[in-house]
Amino acid sequence: MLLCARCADRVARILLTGTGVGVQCAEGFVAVRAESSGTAPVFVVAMTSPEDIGALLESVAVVTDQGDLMCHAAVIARELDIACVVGTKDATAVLIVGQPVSVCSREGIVFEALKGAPS
Amino acid sequence: VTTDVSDLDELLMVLQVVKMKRGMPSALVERVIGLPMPGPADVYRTAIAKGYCASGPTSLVLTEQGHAYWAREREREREAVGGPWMSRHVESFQQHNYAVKALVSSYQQSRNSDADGLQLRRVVAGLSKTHVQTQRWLDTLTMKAPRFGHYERRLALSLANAADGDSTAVASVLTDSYHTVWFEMHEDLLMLAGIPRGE
Repeated sequence: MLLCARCADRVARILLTGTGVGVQCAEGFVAVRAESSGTAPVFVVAMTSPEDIGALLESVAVVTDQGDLMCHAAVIARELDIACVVGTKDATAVLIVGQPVSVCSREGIVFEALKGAPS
Repeated sequence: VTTDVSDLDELLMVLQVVKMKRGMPSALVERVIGLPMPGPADVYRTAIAKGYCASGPTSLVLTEQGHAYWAREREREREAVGGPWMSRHVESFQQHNYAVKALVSSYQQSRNSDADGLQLRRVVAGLSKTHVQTQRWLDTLTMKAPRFGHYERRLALSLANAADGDSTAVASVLTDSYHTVWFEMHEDLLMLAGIPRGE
């Protein structure tokens, strides 16, 4: 693994792995389609829809169950320059709304956030 | 391709754009809706007058009544097009979808070193090639569901803008870029075929 310094001390707290898109890392709170407002939303969805773009504009990261490096979510994340991990298979089942998480695009990992809150 | 677009089709097209562009600036939504349509009706004003759309805090939204109308008319359209034909047409879409997403993704990853515009010219050349094939595919669909002609016009416009040197016309989410229109068309197509996303 080639984790950035910010993520390197969190390997014990891995929640999900998938395909990382880009090189951004971000911390925030899990949000879903209906509840995308709040501080530093990490948008979690099975697969993105065009209807999600408005919410993604406000998000610090996006995590999806499905998709690959060419999926629509990946294209949008590159445009918005936000952290993105796609193809985690079960992010929508594992992550809980409001849960503090860290998203590492470089390695395609979603961590439990340290100290319970985004820095 | 020339097809008769009924007032109902136009109204459904407007509601579809408002639905897909939820949370996006009103000016963008209005600009997209305002693209020339074959029919004469001012459907956008009609949609507001009928209470199907309203201005939200930052953008246009479908009202509850608008959602109900949209769902009813989508079902009517789906029945008219026919499930088996639509399933075959969705199948033939996959090759175009793969090609467009590969071109756009590749461009996004190379554009940081595109000072001379070479990467933009490359993606425009690639999209222009797939666009010709997509047009044939879309023409066939538009014969069955005339509303889809709107995507053809929007794709052509974004491609022309990219060819004129506008790099945001390829994939920006803040404009009606080629990828944004493609994404909306993909979603619309799956809905028309009654296929849940991801299957």
